Amino acid sequence: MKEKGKKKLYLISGFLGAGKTTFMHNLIDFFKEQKIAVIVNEFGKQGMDGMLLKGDGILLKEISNGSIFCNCRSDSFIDALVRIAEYPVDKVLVESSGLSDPTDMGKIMSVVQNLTESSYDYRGTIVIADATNIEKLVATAPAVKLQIASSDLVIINKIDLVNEDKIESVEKIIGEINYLVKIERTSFGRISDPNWIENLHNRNSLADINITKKRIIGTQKLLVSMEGNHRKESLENWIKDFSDTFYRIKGFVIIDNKWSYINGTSNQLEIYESNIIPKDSSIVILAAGNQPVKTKMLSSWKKYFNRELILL
Amino acid sequence: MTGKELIFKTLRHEETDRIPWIPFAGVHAGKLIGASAKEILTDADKLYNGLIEVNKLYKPDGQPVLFDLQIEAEVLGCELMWAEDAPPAVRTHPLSETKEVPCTCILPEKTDGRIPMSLDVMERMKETVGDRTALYGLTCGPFTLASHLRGTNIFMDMFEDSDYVKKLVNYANEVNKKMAEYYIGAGMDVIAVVDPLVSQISPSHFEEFLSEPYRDLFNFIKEKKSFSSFFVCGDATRSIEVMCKTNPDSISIDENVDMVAAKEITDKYNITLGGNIPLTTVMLHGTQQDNMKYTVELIDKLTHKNLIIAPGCDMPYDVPVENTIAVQQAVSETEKVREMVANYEAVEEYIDVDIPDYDSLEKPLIEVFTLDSATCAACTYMMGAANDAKNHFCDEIEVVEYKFTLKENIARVKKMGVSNLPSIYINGQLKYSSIIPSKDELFSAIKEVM
Repeated sequence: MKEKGKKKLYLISGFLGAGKTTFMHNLIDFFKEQKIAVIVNEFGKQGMDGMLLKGDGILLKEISNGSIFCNCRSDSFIDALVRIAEYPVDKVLVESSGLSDPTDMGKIMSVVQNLTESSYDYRGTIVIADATNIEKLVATAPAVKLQIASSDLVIINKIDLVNEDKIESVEKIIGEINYLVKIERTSFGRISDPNWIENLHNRNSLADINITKKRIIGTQKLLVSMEGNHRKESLENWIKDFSDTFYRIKGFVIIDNKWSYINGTSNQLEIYESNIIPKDSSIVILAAGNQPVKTKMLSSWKKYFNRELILL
Repeated sequence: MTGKELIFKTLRHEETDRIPWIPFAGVHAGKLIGASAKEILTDADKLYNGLIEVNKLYKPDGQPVLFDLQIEAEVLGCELMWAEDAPPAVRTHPLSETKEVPCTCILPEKTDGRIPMSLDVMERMKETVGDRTALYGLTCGPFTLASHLRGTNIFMDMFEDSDYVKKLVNYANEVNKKMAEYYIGAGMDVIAVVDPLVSQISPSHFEEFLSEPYRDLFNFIKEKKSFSSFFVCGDATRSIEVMCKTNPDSISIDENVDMVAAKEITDKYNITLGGNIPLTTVMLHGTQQDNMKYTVELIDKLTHKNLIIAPGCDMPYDVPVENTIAVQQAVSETEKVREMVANYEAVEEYIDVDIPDYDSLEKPLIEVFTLDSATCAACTYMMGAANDAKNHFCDEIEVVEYKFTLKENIARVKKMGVSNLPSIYINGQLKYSSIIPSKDELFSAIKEVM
C-alpha cells in the first residue's frame, strides 16, 4: 500500500497519572477533521479511561486486564489493529496502560503490517511525563525508564506546577535515558505546536539506547466501595494519609449528593463534579507490589469514616 | 583425560581414575584480577578475565561462570544492595504486599538485565576453555527465587495459603527452565540449580511444594541433553533423600551437612555428591596446611565413585589463593599431600568472647548466627525474620547478628555450641536451627519470654 493511503498510527504511553487521557482528548480534538479509531488499554477490568473517552464519536476499542505488549494480551491488540485496518479511518490512536513496557511495539507492528498488507504508517510513540514526579518514578518504577527509552517524543506535562530548574533537571534525566528523543513541555496535556505531531517520526529501534531491561511484575490493584454520600474534606484527608504508598487513585464518588470524579497520583489529587453517571461508586488504587498500601489505607479509614472499609 | 571428560564420567556415575574438583569462585574471581565483587558481576570483560585466571591458577575440572543468585530476581523487579566484596543481596520484594502470581508470559528474556552479559561470558569461556573444563551455568532455584519475589511472607504462606505458594513456585520453576534453556544454548555443560533456602524448610514441605517442580525441571534439563546439579547450602541433612528423589545428576552441599552421611544416601540413589570444604573456618581463615589436611581427610572418609570435591558454596572474596591451590593439590595429588601434612597439627587461635548473662537480661535478646546475611540467601531470610520481629516489637527486644566471617564470631559460635548456621537463639536458648520461622511462630516465641 502507498504511504498516502495508510492509516497513521500513534502510540501514547506514560506512567499512571501523567495525563495520558487528557492528552488523548486533546489529540482527538487535534485530529477532529479526520476519522479516528482509538484503542485504550487499561491495567484492570474497570475501563475508566474508556468511559471518559466515550461520546467523542470515535471508534473505540478497549483492551483490559493486562498490557497490550504482554504476550498473553498482544493477540487482542494485534487482532484489534487487523480489524481496524478494514475500517475507513485515517488515524489510529493507541493509549497504553500506564504500567506497560512498550519496548516490543516494533515487533508487534511488524506482525500487524504482515497481516494487513502494510496498512499502517506507524508514526511513533509519544510519552507523557509528569514533571512533578517523573524523577522519583524513574528510580522506583521500572516501566517509566522503558517507556522513555522506547519513545520518539516525550511531552513533559504539568509544567505549571514546577519551576524552571525542575523542568531542566527532568529534561536531563530523560536525555540520559534516551539521548535521541525529542522533548517538549506543556501543561494540561495541551499540544502547543502542531509540529510535535506532524513531524513525529518513529525511530523504530532501541539498539542505540543503553537500558537494562526488566520484566514488570507485582502490582497491587485495590478496588474500594465508596457507596453513600461523602464529604470532600474527609476523602481528601483519607487519601492524603496513604498517598505515599500508591501510584494512582481514581474513581467516581458521590460528594454532597453530586457525582464527582477523583483523580490523583502520589503527589496530586483532583476532585471535581462529573457529568458521567457510573453504575457504582468506587475507587481504584494502583500501587507497587511491595507497598503497604492496604495496611495504611485501613488504619487511616477509621479516622474519617463511620463504616467498615469494603474492598471489592 | 580432560577435566571436562572426568566431570562427564562422574555425572554419568561411571568409575574414574581420580576425583574431580570444582572451585566455586564467584566473587573470588574478582580478587584474582583486582576487581571488586560488583565489577566482576556486572562487567563482562572483568568477569571473563577473572574466570580465565581461576582456570589457570586452580586447574578446575569444572567451573561455574556467573555465581550470582540475584540475576533472575533483578530482572523481575527486586532491588539489589551491592557490596564490594560479596554478591548483591535482594533488598525489596515485588510481591511482598500482593499475592500476585506472575503470568508465565512474563519470563526473563535474553536481553534482560545482566543476562546478555552472562551469555556473552559463557560463550567466550566455552570458546577458550570449554574443550577441557566442564562449564556450569547457575540458576536461582525455584524456592529461593519465589522467596526473593515474595519476601519473608512466604514462610507464613506455606501454612496459610499453600495453593498460592505452589503457584508462585511453579512460576519460579518456569523462570528456571527458561534460564536453563538460555545457558544450555550458550554452551553450558551442567545446569546447577542453586536453592539455598531448601535447607530452611522441612522435608514434608519440600515434598508438598518442591518435589514436583524439581522433577519437572531436572527432566527438562535432561531432555536438553545437559547435566543437572542441585546446589543447596545450610543444614539440608534432613532433605537430602527427598532431593535425591527429584532425579538430579548431582547434588552439592556445604559444611553444614555431614558429607559421609549424605553420601550414603546419594549413593543409594546413584547420584553424584559434591562438597564440602568449609568456606570460612578452613578456606578463608585457615592456613595452606589446614586446607590440605581437611581435603585429604575428607577424601579418606568418602567412597570415591560419584564424588566431586568442591567448596561448600560460593567462595568468600578474600580466600587466600594459596588455600585454594592447596585444596586443588590435595585432590589431584592426594598421596603426596598426605605425606606433606602427616605431622601437621593445626594451631587453634584463641579468642576470648563474652557470653551475655542470659538470666539477667533487661529485655529479650534475639541472637542470629549466620554465615553472612548479606551473602547467604538462607541467612538473609533468617535475618529478615528477626528484623520483622524488631520492626514489630521495636525497643522491647534486642536483635543482634553474628556473622561467621569474623574470627571473634567463629569463637562465639564454638563457645555457644552453635552447630548449624543460620540459627536463632532467644535469651541464649536455641529456637530455630536451619529452619526459618514464620512471623507468628517467632513472635509468639518472643512473647513467651517477655
